[in-house]
Amino acid sequence: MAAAMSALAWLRANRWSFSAIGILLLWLVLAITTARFSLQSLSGVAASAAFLAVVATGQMFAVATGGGNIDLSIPSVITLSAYATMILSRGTDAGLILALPAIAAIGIVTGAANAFLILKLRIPAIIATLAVGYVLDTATLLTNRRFTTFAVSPALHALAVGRVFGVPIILLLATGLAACASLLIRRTGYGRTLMAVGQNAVAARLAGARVARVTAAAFLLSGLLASLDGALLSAHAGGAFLEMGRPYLLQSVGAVVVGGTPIFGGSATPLGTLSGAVFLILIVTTMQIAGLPGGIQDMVQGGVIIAVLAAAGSGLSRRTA
Amino acid sequence: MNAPDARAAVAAPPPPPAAAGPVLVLSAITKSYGPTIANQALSFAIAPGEVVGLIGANGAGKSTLMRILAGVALPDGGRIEVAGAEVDFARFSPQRARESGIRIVHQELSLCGSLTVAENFYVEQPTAGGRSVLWHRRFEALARTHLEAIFPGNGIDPRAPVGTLAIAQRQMVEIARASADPRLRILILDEPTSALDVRRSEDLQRFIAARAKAGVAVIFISHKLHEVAALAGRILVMRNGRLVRDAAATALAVPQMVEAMAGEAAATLATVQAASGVARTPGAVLAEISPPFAATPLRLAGGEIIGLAGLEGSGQPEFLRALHAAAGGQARAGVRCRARAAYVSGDRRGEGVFPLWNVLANATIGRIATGRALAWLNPAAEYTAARPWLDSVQLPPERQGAPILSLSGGNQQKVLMARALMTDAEIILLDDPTRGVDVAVKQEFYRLIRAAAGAGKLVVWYSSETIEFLECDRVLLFHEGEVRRTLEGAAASEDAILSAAFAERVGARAAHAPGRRGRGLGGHLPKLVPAIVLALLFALIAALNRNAASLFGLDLLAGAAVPLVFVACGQMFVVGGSEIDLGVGAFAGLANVLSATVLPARPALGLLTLALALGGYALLGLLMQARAIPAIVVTLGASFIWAGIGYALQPTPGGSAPAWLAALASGHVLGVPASIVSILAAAAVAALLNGARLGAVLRGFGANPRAMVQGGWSARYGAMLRYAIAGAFALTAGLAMTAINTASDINAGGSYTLLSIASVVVGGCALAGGEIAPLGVVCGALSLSLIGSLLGFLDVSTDYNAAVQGGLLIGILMLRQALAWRRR
Amino acid sequence: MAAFSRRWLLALTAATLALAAPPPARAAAPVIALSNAYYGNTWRHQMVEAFQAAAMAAKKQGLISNYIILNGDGSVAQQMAQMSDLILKHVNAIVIDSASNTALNGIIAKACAAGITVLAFDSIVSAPCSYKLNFDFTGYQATMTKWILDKIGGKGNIVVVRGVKGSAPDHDMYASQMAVVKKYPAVKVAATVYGQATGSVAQAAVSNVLPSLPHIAAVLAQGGGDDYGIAQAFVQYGGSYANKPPIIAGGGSSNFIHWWAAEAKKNGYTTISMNTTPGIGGAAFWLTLDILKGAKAPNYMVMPVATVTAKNLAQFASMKPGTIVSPTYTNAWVKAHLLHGK
Repeated sequence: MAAAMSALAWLRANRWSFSAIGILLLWLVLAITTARFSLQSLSGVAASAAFLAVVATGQMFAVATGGGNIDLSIPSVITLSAYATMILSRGTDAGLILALPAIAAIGIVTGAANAFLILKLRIPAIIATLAVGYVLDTATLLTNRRFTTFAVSPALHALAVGRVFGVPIILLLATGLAACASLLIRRTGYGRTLMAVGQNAVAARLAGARVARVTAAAFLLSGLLASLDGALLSAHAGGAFLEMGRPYLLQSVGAVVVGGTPIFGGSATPLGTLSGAVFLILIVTTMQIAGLPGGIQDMVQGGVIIAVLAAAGSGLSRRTA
Repeated sequence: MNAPDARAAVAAPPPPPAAAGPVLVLSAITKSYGPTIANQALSFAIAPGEVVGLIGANGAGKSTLMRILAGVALPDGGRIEVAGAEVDFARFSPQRARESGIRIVHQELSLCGSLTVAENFYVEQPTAGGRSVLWHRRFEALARTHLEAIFPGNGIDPRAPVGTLAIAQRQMVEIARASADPRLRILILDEPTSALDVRRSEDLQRFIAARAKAGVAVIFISHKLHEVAALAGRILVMRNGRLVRDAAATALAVPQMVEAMAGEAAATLATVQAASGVARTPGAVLAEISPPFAATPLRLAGGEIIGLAGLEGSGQPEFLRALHAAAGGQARAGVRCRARAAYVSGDRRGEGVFPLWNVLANATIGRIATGRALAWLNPAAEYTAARPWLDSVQLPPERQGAPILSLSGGNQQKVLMARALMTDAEIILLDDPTRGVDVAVKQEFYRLIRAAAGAGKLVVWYSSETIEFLECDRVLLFHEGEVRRTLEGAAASEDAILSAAFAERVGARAAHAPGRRGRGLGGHLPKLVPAIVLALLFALIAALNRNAASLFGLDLLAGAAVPLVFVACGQMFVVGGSEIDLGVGAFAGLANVLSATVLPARPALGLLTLALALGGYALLGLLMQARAIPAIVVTLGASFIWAGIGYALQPTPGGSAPAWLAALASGHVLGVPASIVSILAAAAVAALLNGARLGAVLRGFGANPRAMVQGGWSARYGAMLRYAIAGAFALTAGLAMTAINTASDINAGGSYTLLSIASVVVGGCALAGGEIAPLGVVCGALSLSLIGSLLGFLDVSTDYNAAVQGGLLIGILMLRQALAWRRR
Repeated sequence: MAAFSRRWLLALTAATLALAAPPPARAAAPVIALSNAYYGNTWRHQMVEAFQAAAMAAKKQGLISNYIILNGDGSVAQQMAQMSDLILKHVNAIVIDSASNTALNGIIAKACAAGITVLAFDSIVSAPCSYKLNFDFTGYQATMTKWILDKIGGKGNIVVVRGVKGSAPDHDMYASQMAVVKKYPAVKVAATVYGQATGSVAQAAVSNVLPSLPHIAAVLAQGGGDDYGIAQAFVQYGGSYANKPPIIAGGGSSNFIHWWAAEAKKNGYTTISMNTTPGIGGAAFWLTLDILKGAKAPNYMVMPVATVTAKNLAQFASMKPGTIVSPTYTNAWVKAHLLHGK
């Protein structure tokens, strides 16, 4: 009994474990349903999960700043930068080099705009990022009119689609990103200060943190990751489409939350976000393979998000009270 | 109604029965918080009509005792009898305490800022207004009566939101509210005059005396010993959790009170005086103070300990903050600072501690936050670096890895001190750090402060205990935000400081009655913004296309907006409770599907499913409270569920509207098309709900949930009600969609969710909660709907719709910010 | 609110209501408007271009006085607002590619009541007063599915890629495909995913499930660019599909056709492509103009689809990337094929 209690305590302390357990369970279900038991069955999900994990990491930084902050401009950044990549790189590697600054600029300028609205104008993050996203949508629509090319620069294509020993490169990138983010959070001054700001911005300021800079940097990161992801997505899909980013809006929040990062900030787990992303994509895939009707698939997705939080939730909130 | 009558009316509860025993008896009440014993074996009795002053140093246990009496905390041992009846702790709660006649006015005000004065009265005492529909008037009258009875000529408008009142007025409202309870037997006041000026303090004293004569027992806690001496008939002195003196007021003079409170501190006083004989030579000048903080410029140098004295509310913490900001590089009027400063706050929970971390992380954050951003952290090195500092604050090594919240208040404060000392700051700012800390720990603090000064740091120290200023080289006496006097060396004795502080106050200009806030156009403008924006939009559209300005045109334009208006109203109630609902649009879609598939074929079953769906929505609220999951995530998950159910029922758009529903949509009422009527109806219903008692309770939960729970309201019930209302509006939106389109489409509702949040914000409700503005939100929803039409008439490509929506959102919020700043 | 602001509001409302004015007289030559729910993919781009080309030609000939094109963001709310605009502008006819089969019925009824001719095409509506120009989704999918299943010998595993979840075309096409599949008991549906009629989504959806599936012989799809996405998914997966891709139902996108041509040259790959033609934009325009001029048309009309097989594959070799197979429909064609019944 005591062992069970302490196991539960360990689970609660390492919040990413819930989604990891979920992944194992789903893998089992998948194996039983398809009579195949291999790492390979996960590999199909890997690429989609990797793309989601990259933006979810950005969302995680935004959420970590606390106060209910959230970045709703991510889908618009993804779509716009996908268009920009296609148009500016024109299918050549040289063009890609020219396009890269523009792509980064889209993400950084968006992040800066978000930060300005939130910090200087004191507009709640959910509204500020929503509004900025709307403005980017218009930019995307205008860009869409001149969109004619479907040529992808080979280097970007190799990154987005290639494999190394059977593992998609994009998954390696996402894992590497999770590792770097983890180091940033745990082992750098910035990361520690960010977690302080998320827990109590006033106390952080009094302790000497530059709250505005820390928060702004988090939103810049979120924007940058989204724009880079958009560029890679365009190479993966071989084109840019309106609505390309739409699924990532709620799924990024879902991955962050299911992965164990509290929605009110103060703590963040990039590893959990990665496993949360895999978990969410795996749910959809498993259901499709199991042949569940569409309506049931939606219900299960929603139910899972709530269930994971209900199981892990109360432990968190007592500590953040 | 003139004042004397009011006072007479209020001060006449039934006289107590002649042979009544004590109204309150405590026997051996004990309470510990972890390792700290807050109350130890407290026993005393209070008779009806006694005025008892409860005094003691910070951390003596007074607040804990009051919390126990008020039903907020449960004692570990002992008995309490109220009016002869023993208290059953298993069932004791704030509500029960109030039923027994115990009312407490807390030091931290428990008012709901976005509710009016009258509504705050209601929330505390719902039954006082009877069942009348005109409950607002009743409570306004109640509020006015009681305020006048205690504080004649206060000029507080009972219809004013409490958040717009000055802090003194808020304190008056709290006191009046507590004393308005007809069952009142024991009135407990915790630092009642801390925010009141001389005139109001005297009013309160007169009121207390009057109530006491009428049989109400009054316990008041105060640091103002002269006040206690003047007012109380009996004095209880607490020290370190025990009751050390229980004497008639006539038997204790102020110095004796101090001695009883200080106890060992008196002994430390001697050591302090001895130790501070060691002279320190001041170092370089680190800060210069000028107007508005000091009429004559002051220089503060390293190696000095500067005390900030003066009565509470004289501006000392504000000065510390300004100094901190100036040290951090921000320009502040009146302060010039050439060094870095570290801040130690006495409000550990609110401003000091990082609750998720352990002791080590809490200590090192000061150095880390002021260090380089990409500095590499090494846990082992961190520990080695922090160890000596933690040792120097006498924190046992085995506690250094423990979660910070498991430490006692005193130890937490030590960690905060270590944090400040660990940085290289040349200035240490202390914001009443010894508040609530026991004497032994205080000793260690004094030692630390002396050591810091000895090492050449400038220590600026705000304390609420005058005795601590004996440590200081110089004491700056604050009054009304600026330094009035400087006392140095031997002149800075406790008596001198106290009497100087009181002298300042007595000599202050006679305070005038706080005026009513200007209610001209300036006050109303923010509320009118959504309506003005809507009118402008509509005027533009009408100018561009005369057809639009006809009823026919209005019908067309409004028709597209009807579902959004309803969804936005639902969202408004959720945002009023300080949450966000990401599933409200999907729920409207589900209602659309249900009413177009099940309802036409089998009306009874259809109604049942709609009712069940609504019930499910309300249960979401319960789930959020029960498992403490944030609303934004639960509603996100729920949105998938609603969409899934709808899709399972109807994979492809279709269905049909029941005849009666379709007829409603195409009908007219008095010549006004149904679309416009339904929008007006939505606004009317929302306004009615908001104006009802229900609305006040929901807004109260959004503004100050803790106060509401302590007031006896159930958070779970409130959440269920909130989501039931939101769900009902979303359901109506779905029905409207069925009526207008005579069919259903599960995907059609999704786009309304984010737009509804935008509408609510445009309409004037802060996302922080506590506000519900039906007219504003409806105007906001209409405005967002009309943008598309406006752009169409301007022949602007619809591509720009989104940007205009975004711009409108930002523009309105900026406008509101600007108005708020101007008002300050 | 205090009396002060209440008075303001009342004044505002009264003033605006008092502005009721009768509608102005109409222009001599008609104004035709296009309300397109969604402009987000190539098909829609081409469709709007087709409409515009036809409209410009007609305007030059003086057949119409003006044309209006409104594109939405895919949401019902925005298209309803657009329709309101057009009604208030008193155009003579509205050609609508709608966001929903049913959610716009109300506003369309209002348009008809205001005397506006309404023609719904491609994504049609169920409103009775509107003309409908539809593709025979059911018919062509049945044909294509039968051809493909026959091609794999009536047995094997297939993947079904559906379209936009919750839309009428998706429902109809899927039903039609499944009806045919049922007739081949040895054919097993290994997975059903949603491609949302978009290449990138279809690609991701297929990539996700592919590793867990047995060998796939064919893929049924719904067009809109998903064909190329599906092909890429298999190409990227490699494995047993490296030189022998499954038979993928083509949706008429030029990228897919180019890929098909290359595969055919490499290893004799063959498949079939049938797609709804964005040229319907032009056809819808001419049809509406004819109706305005008094022609009688049935309430429900069907447009043909474009077919690409191995036989005519070479014709499409010169298509620009990112376009969709579609002829240009002239007024003469419309008169011959739609007005005089089929």
